[in-house]
Amino acid sequence: MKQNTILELKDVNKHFRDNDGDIFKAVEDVSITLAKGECIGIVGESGCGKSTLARIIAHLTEVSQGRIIFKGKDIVKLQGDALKAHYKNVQMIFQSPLDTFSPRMTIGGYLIEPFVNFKLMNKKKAYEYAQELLDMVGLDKDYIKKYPNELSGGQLQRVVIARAIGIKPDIIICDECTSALDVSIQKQIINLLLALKEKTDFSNVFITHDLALAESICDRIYVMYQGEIVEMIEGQNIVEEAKHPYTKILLSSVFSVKNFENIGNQRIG
Amino acid sequence: MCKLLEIKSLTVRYDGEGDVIKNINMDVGYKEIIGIVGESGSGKTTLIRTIINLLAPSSEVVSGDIIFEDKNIRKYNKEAWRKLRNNEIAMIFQNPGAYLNPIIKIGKQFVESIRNHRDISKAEAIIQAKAILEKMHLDDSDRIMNAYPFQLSGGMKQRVAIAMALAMKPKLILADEPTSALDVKTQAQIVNELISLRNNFDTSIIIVTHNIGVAAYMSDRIIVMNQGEIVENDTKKEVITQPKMEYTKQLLAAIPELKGF
Repeated sequence: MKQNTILELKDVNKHFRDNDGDIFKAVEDVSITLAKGECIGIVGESGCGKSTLARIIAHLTEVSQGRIIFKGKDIVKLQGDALKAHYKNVQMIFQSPLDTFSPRMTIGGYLIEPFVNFKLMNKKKAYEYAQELLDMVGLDKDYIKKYPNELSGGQLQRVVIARAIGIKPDIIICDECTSALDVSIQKQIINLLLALKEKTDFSNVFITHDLALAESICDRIYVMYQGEIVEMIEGQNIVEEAKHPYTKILLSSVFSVKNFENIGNQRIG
Repeated sequence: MCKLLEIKSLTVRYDGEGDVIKNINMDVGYKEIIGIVGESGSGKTTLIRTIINLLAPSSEVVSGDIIFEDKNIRKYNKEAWRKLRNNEIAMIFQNPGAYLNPIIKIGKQFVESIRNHRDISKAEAIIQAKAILEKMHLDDSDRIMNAYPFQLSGGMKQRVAIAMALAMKPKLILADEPTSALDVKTQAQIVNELISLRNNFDTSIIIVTHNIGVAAYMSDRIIVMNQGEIVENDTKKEVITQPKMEYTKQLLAAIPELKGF
């Protein structure tokens, strides 16, 4: 275990029971580590357990078995105030920004909510801070008066990021946070995240099905399949390092613009 | 070469928003796959919805003609459209879950959609439906026919939707982001199904996607749209290796790529 490890999952399991009483193993014996300031990627297809894992880290879903060590303490059984503090330490950014907003709450109302809820500052202060945060993510200060439907998806995602970072968490979990956005907007959001990470040094769990995106921003990548981690890729070149057959299948499903002619030929052959 | 579809100076206006697509000229050849790419709001979806006459009531075709097999289908009335839609031109939507009726079994929906257009018995329709499902690699066709939409995965539902579109052997399939709700592995399957459609049934396809990789993989030609206008329309090789417009270059540069490719 590295010195500066901030989060460690040891043999974490999550089982769901369906209507017939059968057990579905969503997450099975998963062990991962996350160091301070590190960005780890979790990739895999739909239903592989990526999002369940994210929810476990954020303590939104209880584990069935296993240990989660956060800053040296087991957080599996956290309750009450300690749990509330944990919610502050781990922030999550979801896929669809529009779903995270209440349609009848202004952007300002959304931004100040955690600061008021966690009793970090009073409302007036929080509004001032909200404006600072908007400025930080490149949005106009007047946006605090706007409603979510007046903003584009990319702008909303910036607001979500602003709030997540404003609370100064140790870990930010991005669950497919750019997959609802256009590539050009995705690039802006990723650049914003990277720039903010440089500044505030949070650790990042980046969940995506886009292998190329994961490769471009993550220090390490875990490949998940049917609830299990099948491979960890340490370097920054998935194609060269991938050994597990499942990772190779995933790679063969990627449509690359760079390589369009070669792939096209394979199809005919 | 004779064209299957020709669009001539088409402009569509939305109430209060002005022209969402402006002076569009394009054509689709027989057996051709065309990829339309562009950002959200560039008018991709409006364009193909205009082709199949499924525009929202608040919109209006200001000018232009849509010629399908030498007939101007823009002037068609409701009855003519009922015959044309699905029979000759079919559409596949982004979210198959929204397109299938949640409380009717797949089999019943499928048979209904076949019998709406063909005067055949239920038993015959069932046989046809199963055959098409199997062609889409939904091997357990009995189970699929007996399932409600929620019992199928996203990829399976999309394959059912494609099978239903295919049942009438249309000459042109319009696919609006057919894979963007699916993950990479399922996406690859669906894309390959669409390609084999063209290879086996000579169907022309217009695929609208924001995934330029998908467009590059499956289409013969790529059209790039920006703010309601076509800014690039060429073979995929030209568009990807030698884009003319700055916009296309930026779009291509924004795509994350695996280093090892």
